[in-house]
Amino acid sequence: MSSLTEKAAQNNAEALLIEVARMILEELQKREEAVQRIVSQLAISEVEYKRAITAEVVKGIAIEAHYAFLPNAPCTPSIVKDKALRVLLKKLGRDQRIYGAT
Amino acid sequence: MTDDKIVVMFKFRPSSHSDDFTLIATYQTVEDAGKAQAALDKLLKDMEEHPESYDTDWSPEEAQVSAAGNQVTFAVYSAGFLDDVESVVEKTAKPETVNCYTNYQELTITVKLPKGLTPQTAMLVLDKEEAEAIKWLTETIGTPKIAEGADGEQTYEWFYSGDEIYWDGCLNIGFEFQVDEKENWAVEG
Repeated sequence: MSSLTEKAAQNNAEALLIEVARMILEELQKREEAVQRIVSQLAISEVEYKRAITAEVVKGIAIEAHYAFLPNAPCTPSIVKDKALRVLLKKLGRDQRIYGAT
Repeated sequence: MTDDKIVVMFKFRPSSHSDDFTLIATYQTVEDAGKAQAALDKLLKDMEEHPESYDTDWSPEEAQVSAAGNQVTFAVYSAGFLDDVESVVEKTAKPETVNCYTNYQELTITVKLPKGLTPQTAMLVLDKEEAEAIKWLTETIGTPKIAEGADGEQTYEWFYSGDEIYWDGCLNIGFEFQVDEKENWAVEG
């Protein structure tokens, strides 16, 4: 793979991660009530919580996002986004159960 | 040659390298540490009840959670799958520090030296390895506690806590210092 191809893949992966982060924030917005209940049990603010859970999700899909733009990619951006949503729901479910917000 | 077939079975260990991870979070108050400990206990319980929600290489019964004063300690053997633990530790209460160690050790390292030597002068008098070891210990841990003996000797003592540096009688401190071959040195864990 040429360095130009690799650079393009990296740029695309970064753009995808930003898109995923935006998507996660929108999803959290839709679940505002659950987020509020979790945050009421935490020592961090709502903004900090949203940032933390978004970072967790992005970390969870970062490798797939990178591979999605390489030649013969084993996954697509769409698959990466689906996984991101699944990871978000897992993390949110975890926090709802741990912080008694179910 | 016969037609007899020989079946050879190999068992492979997981490809990822695992270590004993120890995560120590220090909070401002004992109460905060208590909250974090309770949340970690809930996390482990949740892992038992909802294993499908977690992407880890360890099971909750393998993990240990403890609290002492304003510190909470979480220990488990893993290849580094600690995201959920870090998440709980960092948001339940605001920690002052969070440190993660591999193969955590607490060691008391002592060396007996002639009275009157300071850490600086000791480095001029001792052999190169001992001097380098004292330099590393002083730079990494700090000035040693010095105890005067009645036998014309003094003992320098450092208390170390952190990543594994001592095994098989050897201190690995940037170089291998075979401390068990030195009569005046001792390491206790």
